[in-house]
Amino acid sequence: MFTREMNAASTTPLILGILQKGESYGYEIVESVKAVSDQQIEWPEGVLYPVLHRLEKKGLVSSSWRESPEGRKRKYYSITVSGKEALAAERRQWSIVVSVLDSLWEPIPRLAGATP
Amino acid sequence: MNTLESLAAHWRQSMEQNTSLDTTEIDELECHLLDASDRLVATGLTSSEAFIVCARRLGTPIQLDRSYRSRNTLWERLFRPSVLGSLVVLVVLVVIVAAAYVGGIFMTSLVPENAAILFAEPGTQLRMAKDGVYVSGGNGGMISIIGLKSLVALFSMTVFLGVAGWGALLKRQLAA
Repeated sequence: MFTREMNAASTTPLILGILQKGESYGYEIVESVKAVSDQQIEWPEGVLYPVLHRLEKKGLVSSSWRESPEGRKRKYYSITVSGKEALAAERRQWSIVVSVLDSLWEPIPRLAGATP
Repeated sequence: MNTLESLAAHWRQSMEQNTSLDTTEIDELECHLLDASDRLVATGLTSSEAFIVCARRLGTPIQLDRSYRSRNTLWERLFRPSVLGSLVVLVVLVVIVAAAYVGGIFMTSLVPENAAILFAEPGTQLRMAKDGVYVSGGNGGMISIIGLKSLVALFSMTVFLGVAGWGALLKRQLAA
């Protein structure tokens, strides 16, 4: 659905955006993205975790293993201070791109006198 | 052990054998599988059916391994494959050149001056030239001999090409 490049560019801001609302874990993040995007964004399962690990190595998220309410060993992720900064930077860039594209893609006004 | 537990154990074993994922990475994926299965059980599937469906959706061990490795650190992405690859190439080149050199030294002992012979047909005549030894005779074929200087030049050229190739590979991977 999305191109590979689009997926690559949007995964980090999406994950950070979800974690900014509170700590979460892999399955819940995938489900949140699905719900928020009205099922438009569905990541192949298993792809999210390597991205989360990369973000953790970069210090944008931190993680801790705890027992889930169902009694499972689960890894919870939360956003760090530098993660919040990175998200703010992403947000600025995406806003610019979105507003530029919006103005470029506005319906082109019909030329005066042109026949329909 | 109930069916779900044995399915999960079987899945884990397959992941351990067929991927380079470490234990905590597999733990995390297993938790994901069980979380996803719960959702399907709520729609009416048995826990075993749900687990099988979810494991299939998650991907085969090979697919998972690929997606984990493709997102590794810069160091692993850039250097591990190329270091290994170029080491193998280097070792092969060194062995070839060393074999040629040793062979050359051996053959050189058969001729009066410091020249290395790579190939010479039996019964060929050797005669000295300015920068090496040339052969004549046999079937009339010649220039199957290389002077030591040429051998050094060949070796330097090989090393140069190897380094240049490696550089190009690194550059391409950096751009990827």
